[in-house]
Amino acid sequence: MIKSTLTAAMLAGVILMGGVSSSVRAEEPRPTIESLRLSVEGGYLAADVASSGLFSERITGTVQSGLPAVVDLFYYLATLDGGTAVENVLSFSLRYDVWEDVYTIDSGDTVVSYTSLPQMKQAIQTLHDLRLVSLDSIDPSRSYRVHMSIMINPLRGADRDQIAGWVRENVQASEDDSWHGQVLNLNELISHFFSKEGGVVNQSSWYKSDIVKPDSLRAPEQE
Amino acid sequence: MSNRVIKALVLLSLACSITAVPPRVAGAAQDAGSPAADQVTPAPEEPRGKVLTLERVAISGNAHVSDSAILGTLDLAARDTITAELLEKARLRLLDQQPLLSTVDIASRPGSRRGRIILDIAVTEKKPIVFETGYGHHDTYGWFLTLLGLRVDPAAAYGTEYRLGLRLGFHIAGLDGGFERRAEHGRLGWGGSFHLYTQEQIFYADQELPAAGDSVSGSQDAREYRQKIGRAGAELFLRYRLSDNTRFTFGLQAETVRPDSSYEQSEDGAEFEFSDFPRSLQPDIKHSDIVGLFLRAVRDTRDRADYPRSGSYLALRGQWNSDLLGGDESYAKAEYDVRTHIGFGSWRVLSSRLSGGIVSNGTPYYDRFYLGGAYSIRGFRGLSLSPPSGHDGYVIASSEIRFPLIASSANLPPRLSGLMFVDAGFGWKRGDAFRWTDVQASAGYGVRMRLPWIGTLGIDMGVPFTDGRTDDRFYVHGCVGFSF
Repeated sequence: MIKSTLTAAMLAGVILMGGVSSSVRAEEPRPTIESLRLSVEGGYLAADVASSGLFSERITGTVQSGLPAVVDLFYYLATLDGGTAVENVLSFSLRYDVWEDVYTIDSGDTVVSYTSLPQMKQAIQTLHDLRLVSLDSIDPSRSYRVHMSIMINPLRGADRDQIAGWVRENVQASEDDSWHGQVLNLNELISHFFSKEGGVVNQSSWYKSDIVKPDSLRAPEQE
Repeated sequence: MSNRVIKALVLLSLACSITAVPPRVAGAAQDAGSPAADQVTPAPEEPRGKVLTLERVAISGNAHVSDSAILGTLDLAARDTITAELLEKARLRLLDQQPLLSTVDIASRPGSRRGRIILDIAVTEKKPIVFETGYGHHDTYGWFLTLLGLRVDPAAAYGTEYRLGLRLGFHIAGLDGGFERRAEHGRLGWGGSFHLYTQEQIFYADQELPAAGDSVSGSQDAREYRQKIGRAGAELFLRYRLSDNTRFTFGLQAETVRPDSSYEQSEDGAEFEFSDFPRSLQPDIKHSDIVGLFLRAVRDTRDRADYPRSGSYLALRGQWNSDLLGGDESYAKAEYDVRTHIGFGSWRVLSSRLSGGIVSNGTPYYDRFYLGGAYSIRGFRGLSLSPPSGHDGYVIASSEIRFPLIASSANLPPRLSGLMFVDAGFGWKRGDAFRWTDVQASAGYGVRMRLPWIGTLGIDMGVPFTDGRTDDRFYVHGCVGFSF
């Protein structure tokens, strides 16, 4: 009886762990922009960005091994007539010094240190006063909507052709002597419309802000 | 609690910890047909200095490319110093040297000791077979659909691609295909192609024909006639890629051509025998085998092919067909095509083109030049500016200003763009004296729309400045992409 009980217990344990590992596989977090608050700071249109889901097992493992992970924040200012005023990327490199036990976020201009992984995660997922565009390079009396997406990759920044909704063309021009044509890849077309996952796994969907007029965001003393 | 129970619990704990190992490593290890995916080489001593060193590699996602092939290309060994830059080079090396890999993602996790890392390499492989469809326009045979195309990149071959296409159009139907074994820059690649078409040769002649005189003088009462021609051929070539922009192709071609002995008038379908044509206009309609050599050179420095804003395109093509090589015909043909693009603002471009060609005596009519149409001189019906037997040579010059109609992203061409153009050109027959009245010219405007999954389509409306051979005050052309 003990033997059969033990066998059942071992079997249950294996099944349970298999189920847990399966559920772990299925529930890898996906990056998400939770909120985007715009303001005018020091002559710039600035943003406070809150995000979540950046730290999957792969990303956490890479950072904790001592190699970097790179967070790219893509954004563009869309005018109300369908045009694009400004388009840019802000990149942040996340690192851990395994010997000094220090975490850092390097934005290119500044490097900020943290003593623990949760602190660094909190900092990168709640970014403040990001300078998106100088007010001198746009018409601040016009209305805009900011579109933003966040992406995180182990080791390196994103390839431009990885970015969903940014630069993506599925039709190739074909020209050979007297033939002028367009070629459409049916495999890609089918997987685009029938794939359950849709989009790039380590990139958030595009977050759209409310329509804003930079002039109306200025504090009274800034005018 | 008995010892047996304690031992069983310990065994159970051990079993649980094994199954909790990250799936990609377990998955790689379960690949029964391949060697062990991990390089496990524990280092006996501590790493010298504060550097990260490699402990082992775990690979997942590969079904056709072996672990040993990936590890060999990575060129990393246990205890190697690891940096992000080195791993990025290794990733690009994998994508370059393993053509069956579509994506390579490298991540890492801490190893068994501080400073050691385990690399996790996740790959996706290309589909060996790609299905395609499409559409386009041929200079002579008009619009066509590629009903189904097939590209095969067999796992057994390195860098060789096979393609097969089924085309159907208003004036063309058939099958074509080919293969190419690409080589690195500075080395020779090779390939071949074949085609099997039934085409309709379009030409314009005076409506009084077949009874009356010479229509070469440029009557404006010309009507459209069509003749079926069957063509089947193949070519073998060597291709040398000097750089990303420049390539040379040299090869041998062979083709059999069977023109119909009758033609029909497009308007009412009336059929006529070619022998009813005046002798000076009779095309050479005999069945011919054509064997020859060809040379093509292309230098393309445009920033992008679909909407170039800078750069140039130069193409030179020459062929020499001879009965010495076993064919029935002996003739030569040479063409050039030069295009330049100058951007002057966001997606505003001045584009220009100069093209021309010449054929030798004895060139059959189906390989001669026919002017007029969307990719030739706009404002005139396609092929309508040449006599039924074609021209021996031609020169065409075009200039076009392209501009966005809807504001767009900096990275992609505008969804809707406009253009204004001027086209001019002339063709000649050997022995004819040049006359300024032979020059045909037009001007006009057009729009292009870039559609997802379909590509760029548009229309051009041209107004002729000169008298063509049909009585059109203006003509609207449908276009795939830009005219040049």
